[in-house]
Amino acid sequence: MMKSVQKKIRKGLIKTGLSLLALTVVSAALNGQSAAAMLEKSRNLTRVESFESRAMLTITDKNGNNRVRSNSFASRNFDDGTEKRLIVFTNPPEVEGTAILVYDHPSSQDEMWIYLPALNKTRRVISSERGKSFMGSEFTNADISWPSNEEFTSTFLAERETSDFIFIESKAVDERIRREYGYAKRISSVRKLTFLIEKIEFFDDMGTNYKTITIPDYTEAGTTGKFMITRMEAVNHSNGRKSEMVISDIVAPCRKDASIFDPLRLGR
Amino acid sequence: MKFEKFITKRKNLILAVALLVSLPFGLLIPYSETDPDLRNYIPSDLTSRINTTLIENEFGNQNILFVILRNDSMLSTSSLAYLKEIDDALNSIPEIEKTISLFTTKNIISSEGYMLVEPCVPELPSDSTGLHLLMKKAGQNNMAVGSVISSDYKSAAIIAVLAESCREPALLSSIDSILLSYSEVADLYAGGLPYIRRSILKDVTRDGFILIPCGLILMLVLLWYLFSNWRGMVLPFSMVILSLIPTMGLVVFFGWKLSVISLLAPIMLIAIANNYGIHIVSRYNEYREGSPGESVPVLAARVIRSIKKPVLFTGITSIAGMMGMVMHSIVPAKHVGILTSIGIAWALILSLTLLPGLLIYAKGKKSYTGKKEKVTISDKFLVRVAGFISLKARIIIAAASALTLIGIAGTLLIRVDSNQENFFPKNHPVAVTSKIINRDFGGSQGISVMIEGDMMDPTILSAIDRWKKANLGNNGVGSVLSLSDAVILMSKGLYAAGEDGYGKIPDTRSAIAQMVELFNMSGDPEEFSSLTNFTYTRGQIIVRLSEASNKNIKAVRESLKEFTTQLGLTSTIGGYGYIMNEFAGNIVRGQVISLVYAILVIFILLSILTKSFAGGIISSLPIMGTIIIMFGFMGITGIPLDAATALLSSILIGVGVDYTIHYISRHTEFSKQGYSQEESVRMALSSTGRGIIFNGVSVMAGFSVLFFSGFTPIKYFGYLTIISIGMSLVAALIIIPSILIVFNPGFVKPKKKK
Repeated sequence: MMKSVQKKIRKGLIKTGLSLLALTVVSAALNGQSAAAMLEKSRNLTRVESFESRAMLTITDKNGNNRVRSNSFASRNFDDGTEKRLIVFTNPPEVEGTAILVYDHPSSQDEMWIYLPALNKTRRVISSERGKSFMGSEFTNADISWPSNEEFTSTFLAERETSDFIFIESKAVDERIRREYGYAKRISSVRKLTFLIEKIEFFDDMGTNYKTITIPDYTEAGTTGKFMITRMEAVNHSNGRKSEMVISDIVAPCRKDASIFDPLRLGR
Repeated sequence: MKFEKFITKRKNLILAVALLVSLPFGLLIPYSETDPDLRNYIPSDLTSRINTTLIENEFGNQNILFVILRNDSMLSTSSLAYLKEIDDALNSIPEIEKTISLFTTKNIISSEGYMLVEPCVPELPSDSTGLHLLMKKAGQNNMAVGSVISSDYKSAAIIAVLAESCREPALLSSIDSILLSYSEVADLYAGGLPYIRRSILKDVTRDGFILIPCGLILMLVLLWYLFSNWRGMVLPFSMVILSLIPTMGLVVFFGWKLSVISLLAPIMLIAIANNYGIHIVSRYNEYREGSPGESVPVLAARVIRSIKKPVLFTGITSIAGMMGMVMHSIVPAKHVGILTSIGIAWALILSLTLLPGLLIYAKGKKSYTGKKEKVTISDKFLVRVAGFISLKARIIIAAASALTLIGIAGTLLIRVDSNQENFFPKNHPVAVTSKIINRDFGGSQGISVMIEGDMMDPTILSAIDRWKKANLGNNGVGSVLSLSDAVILMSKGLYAAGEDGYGKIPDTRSAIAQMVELFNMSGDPEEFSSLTNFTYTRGQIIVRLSEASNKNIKAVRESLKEFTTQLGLTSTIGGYGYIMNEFAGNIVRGQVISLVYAILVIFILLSILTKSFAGGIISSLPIMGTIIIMFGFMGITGIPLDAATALLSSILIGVGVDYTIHYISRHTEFSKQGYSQEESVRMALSSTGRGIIFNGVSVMAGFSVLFFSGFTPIKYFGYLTIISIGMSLVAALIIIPSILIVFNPGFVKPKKKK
C-alpha cells in the first residue's frame, strides 16, 4: 500500500512539474512580445501555403430559419505574397457553379471576380469595403481572410488576462480603415498554450459588442506545423443572426493547378 | 309637489352631495395623458391592423421618419457635406436602427467589364466633374431617385428606420438638436408619422389649455350679457363647472387617454351644460317679474314644477343624441359619447335639484332681471317673426323642402378623409414637410403587400415590375419598392447599357438566385430584409402614396388584390394607408349607425312627449332636414367627413332637438287652452322664444372657441356646429310653427269635451 501511494505522489509531482515547465516556456515565449507580434504569430500559425477543402456555411436568422451554402474551396499563396482563393458553390442547385475568385494582395486593394453560370457572365467586382458580408453570412470578407496588422493598433488587455487566455485589443488606425472593415475595434482571445485565436469580439463606434466569432475547432494541416480552422461561428448580437462554417476534407497542399486562379478561366 | 318640496327643503344636503361627488374627480385631472397615434383610434380587430402587424412581424416595423435637406441643387459639395454630417449624427442616436441615404443606398454599375458596387456617394466629390458623374450615376439608380434624392436633385432625404424600442420624445429631441445646428446653412425639414404624433400631442395639450378656459370665459361673458348680474351669471355657470370636473376626471378614472377628438367633450359640455340653468333662471325671472311679492322658495318650486318636464326631456334627448356616438367604432368617439352623456346627465340632475337651492341661497335684496332694453328688442323681433310665419307659413315650408332637396344632392358629393396629415393647417410644419415628402419622395404613407411565393421566380418578379410600371403616378402612387427593383439594379451592374439583359429581370430562377447571392456579397445581407424573408418564400411590395386620399388607397388596394390573385398568390395587404382607409370606412359606417340610432330614439321620445305618433314625426322632421342640409353643405363646400365632423350629427340631434321640444311644449300649452295656431305661435314665441334664442346663442358661443383649435377638422367642426345650431333654431322657431299652422295636427288641438 505504501508503494502505490508513493507511486501516485510521484506521478502527481511529475505532472505538476511538466505543467509548470510548459507555463514557463509559454511565459518565456510571451515575455517581450508585442500584441501585434502575437497576432502575427497567430496568423502565421494558420497561414497554410496552399490547401483545398470543402465548406458548409449555415446562416440562421433570429427565427431559426436556415440557409445552407456548400462550396469547394481552394487557396494558394504566390511568390509575390498574394493569396488567391477560389470558391465554387456546390449547393443549393440554383447557385451551383457560381464561382468567386479573390486575390488577397498584401499591400494593395483586394481584387474579386464572380462568375454567374446562369448568365454565363464573369464580372470583376470592385467593392471598397472589406467589412461587407461573405456570402450573405455574418462573416465578413475580412473575417475570412485576415486583417492586416498594420491597419490596426494592438495592445494587450492585462486586466482580462486569465491563466489560459491573453486578450488583445486591436483598434483601426484611422477612419478609412474603420469604415472599410466595419468595426471600431476587436478583442481577440488568444490561447496561451497554442497561440491560436479562439474568440474575437467586435465593437462598433459606441463601444457595443455587436458580433462575436468563436473558433472552437482547429486541425493540424498535415505535418506543416500549421493549423487550419475547421469550425467557426459568428453571432450577430444586434440582429440575432448567426452563421456557422464547417470546413472538411482538407487537403494540403492544394492539388489543383495554379491556372484555376486565373479570372479568365472562371466558368470553364 | 313632493319633489319640489324636497329640493327646496334639503338644499344643504343636495349641495354637500353635489360637491362630494364632483370635486374629488378634479384630483385625477392632472394625471390625464394624450394618445397621439391615430392607429389607436380604431379597434385592434380590424383587418388592416391585424394584417399590418403580420407584415411587420415578418419584415420589421414600418416606423420611419424623414430628414430632408433642400437646396438649389443637392449635388454640390457643401450640400453633400452637410448631408453626410447629418447622416452620421443621426446614426449615432441609439433610437435609430439605421439610416437610408445617398451614403448607404447602393449603386451598382457596369463599366468596362467591372461591376462597381458602392454607395451612391462613396466620398464627397471635389470638383464639378465629380459632381456631374455623381449626378449621372444617381439618375440611373432606380432605388435612389425618388427615395433618397428627388428627381430634380433639389431635395435629399435621410430615411431613419427607428429601433423597435424607440423612445420617440428622446429621439425627436435629439434630431431637433442636430437640425438646429445646421439651420443657418441649409433648409431642413423633418417629417413622417413620429412628427405627426408629436404635433398632435403638443397641439392637443395646447388646445386643452386654450380652448377650455376660453370657452369658460366666453360662457361667463355671455351669461353676464344675458342676465346682467353676477347671480344670473354664476348659477348656470356653476352647473358647467360641477359637471365639467367629474367628466374630465372620468377620463383618467376609466383609464382612457385624450385624443384630438376627446377635446370636443369639455367644449360640448361647456356649451350644453348651462342650457338647463339658463332656462330655469330665465323662467324664474319671468315669474319674478309677474309675481314680485312671492317668496323665493315658492317661486323656485313653481319654476321647477313648470319646467322640469321639458328640461328633463331636453336633457334625455341630448343624452340620447350623445349616446349615438357610442355606436361608432372609432374609439375616441365612443369615449366622447360616454363622457358627454355622463356630463350632461349630471348637469341635468344638478340643474333640477341644486340650482333651485342656489336660487334660494342667492336671493339677495335685488330681484333678478335682465336688461329691459335687450328683452324688448328680442320680444319685438319675435313678434315680427310670428307675424311673418302666420302670413307665409306655406312658403316657408316650401322653401325648407327645396333646401332639403338641395341638401340631398349635396350629400352625394361628400368625401371622407382619414389622412391625419390633413389635421394641420397648410402652413403647419407637418403639412409643409408632408407636402415635400409626397412630392419628392413618394409619400410618407403607404400600403404594404406581403405575398407568399417563390421570390426567386422570374414570373412573380416580372409581374411586380409590370404592376409598378402600370401604376406609378396613378391613383397617388408615388413609389413602389420590391425585390424586382433590386434585381433590376443588379442587372445594370452585370450588363452594359444597351446590352440585352440590362435593366431587366432575368428569365430563370437560377439567374435571379445568383444575382441575389452577388448582392449579398457586395451589400448588407439585411438590406433585403424589408423586401423578402430569409428563405425567399415571402416578399413585400412597399407602395408609398404621394396623395393618400381614401379614393386612391381603395383603388390601389383593389389593384394589388387583383394582380396578386391573377398570379395565384396569397397576399396580405396592410400598411398605414390601409389602416386609414379602413378607418374612413368606419367613419361612414359609424355615422350611419349613430344617425339611425339617434333619430329613432329622438322620434320615440318626441312621440312620448307629444303623446302622438304624428307629433313624433312632425317634431323630428325639421331636425332630419337640418342634418341633410348640413351634410349637403359639407358636400358642396368640400368639407370632408372625418373623425371629428362624423360626430356632428349626434350633437345636432342631441342639442338641436331641445329647441323643438321647448317650443312645442309651450305652443301646445297655449293651443290646448283653445288659442288658434297663429295665436299660439305668437304667444309661444313671445314667452319661450327668448329662452330658446339665449340657449342657441350660448351653445353657438361655446362652440365658437373651436375656431382657435390647432386642428383643421376641429375648426371645421366648430363652423359646422354653429351653422347647424343656427339651422336648428330656425327649424324650431320658424319651420315647426309653420308646420303647426298649415297642418293643425291633432296633438296640439284641445281635447273635445264630451
